Amino acid sequence: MSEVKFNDETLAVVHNLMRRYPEGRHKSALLPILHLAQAEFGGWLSPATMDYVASILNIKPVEVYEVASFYSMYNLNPVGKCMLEVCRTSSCWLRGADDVIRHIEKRLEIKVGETTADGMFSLKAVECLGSCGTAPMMQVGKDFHENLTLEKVDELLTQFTNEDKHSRYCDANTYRKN
Amino acid sequence: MGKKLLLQNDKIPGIDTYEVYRQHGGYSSVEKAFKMTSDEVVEEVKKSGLRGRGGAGFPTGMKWSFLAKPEGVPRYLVCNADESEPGTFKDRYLMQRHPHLLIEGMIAASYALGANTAYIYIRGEYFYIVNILEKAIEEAYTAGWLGDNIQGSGYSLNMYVHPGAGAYICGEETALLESLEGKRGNPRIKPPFPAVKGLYACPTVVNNVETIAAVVPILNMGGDEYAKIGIGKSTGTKLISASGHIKKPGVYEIELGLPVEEFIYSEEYCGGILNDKKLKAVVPGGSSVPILPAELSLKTPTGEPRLMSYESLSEVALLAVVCWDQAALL
Repeated sequence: MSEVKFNDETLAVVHNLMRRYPEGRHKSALLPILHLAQAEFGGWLSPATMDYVASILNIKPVEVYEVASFYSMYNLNPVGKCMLEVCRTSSCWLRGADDVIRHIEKRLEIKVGETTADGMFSLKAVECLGSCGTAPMMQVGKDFHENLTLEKVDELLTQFTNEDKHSRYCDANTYRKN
Repeated sequence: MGKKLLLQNDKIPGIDTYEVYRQHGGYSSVEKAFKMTSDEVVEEVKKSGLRGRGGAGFPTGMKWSFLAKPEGVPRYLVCNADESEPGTFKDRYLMQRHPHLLIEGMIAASYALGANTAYIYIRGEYFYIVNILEKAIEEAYTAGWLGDNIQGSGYSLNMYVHPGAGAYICGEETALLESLEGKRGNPRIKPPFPAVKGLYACPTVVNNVETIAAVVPILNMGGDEYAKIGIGKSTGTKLISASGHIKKPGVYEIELGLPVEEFIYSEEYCGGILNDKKLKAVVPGGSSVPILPAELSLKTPTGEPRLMSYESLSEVALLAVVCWDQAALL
């Protein structure tokens, strides 16, 4: 992997984010900055990435580790380029989430929590994503894919394979340039 | 048709943009608020009987009046957009379709509280809505509804969106504040309450998305008029997330006091049980609430029709209805 350092554009966004909080409270920007770091540096937070974020915020690395390990959206181990997050909570489960998960497991030959051998896909079962009225669903990056059928899942997996892109929750354009 | 106070413009194309929103009367509640003192705005909300739309049902005006106001200490309004209770998706719907309604409500509420900085803490899973809110906030700044000396009122407000990162507990207001400070989302021991020591140990009000949005119609129509809608101490309208084995899942605005049976079976709302099967049970909140078997969902133990109100469904969060048909395994 290339050097862990934001490009100038993203770094400007990072500094803007820090200015959203009062003087001396810039640690508040930790969560949004970790999201940007995960998006930019391979989809997960390596120790080197977390140390870099700590240096930007001028806080101790352990303050970053303890936060990164608390929240479910931060990956502390390498993941596939494309993270499939299938909701398994009540409403999705009532509308067929189990079938969706089993179908993906079979097609990709992995289990929940695993990554395909080619590093393309990781499969995660997650708790309610607020898409209950359009269940079943899965999140890939910031996109919600709703009212899933097994056919639709197949189409999506083919599409993702062809695109061969990293799934991301955010990027430098997510935030207003305040 | 029940009265609509939040979603009345739901079908208007482009209502998520500033221009269209303003054409349909948007931001008039802020204009109205600026003609009042901040205490008068709090008084209107008290009169409306509005109760927290995040599930707890605490009177909003009372929560606002608890806010400490020491000299020289900033106060904050924080919008709880962490919506993580399984089965709830009404705040997502509101923010996605009506971002300016939330922003308008936040300006009026911040003015009432004397807050000059407001944050929207949104669950990280809703990142695509961060884009929507950022764009709407930008529009509001450009149109002079945010920033310094808003519309020449002398009042200034900055507003920011802050994403979480996946933690159910951050819907609890003190955990949310910890998270907003860049820490693990561990709840704080209360007291002190956020109204005294909240964000950065400053007086803070944390309100749910829909609660803040409801301030808009309350100021537009007046607290007394708002209080006439609904039933008893459950005043106004409420957004309900409906999902599971029903014909028409989605978000519906109801007048509080609507019978549960009507909500589930009428064409205006859920349209009945999927494939016309028999209703087995209802989860009348999120997953954290008891499951009501069909007979107790539609009627109370004394045989009265079960109403959608804070009282009739007491101790359950009135956020969502998840229906299970007879075939579902419990």
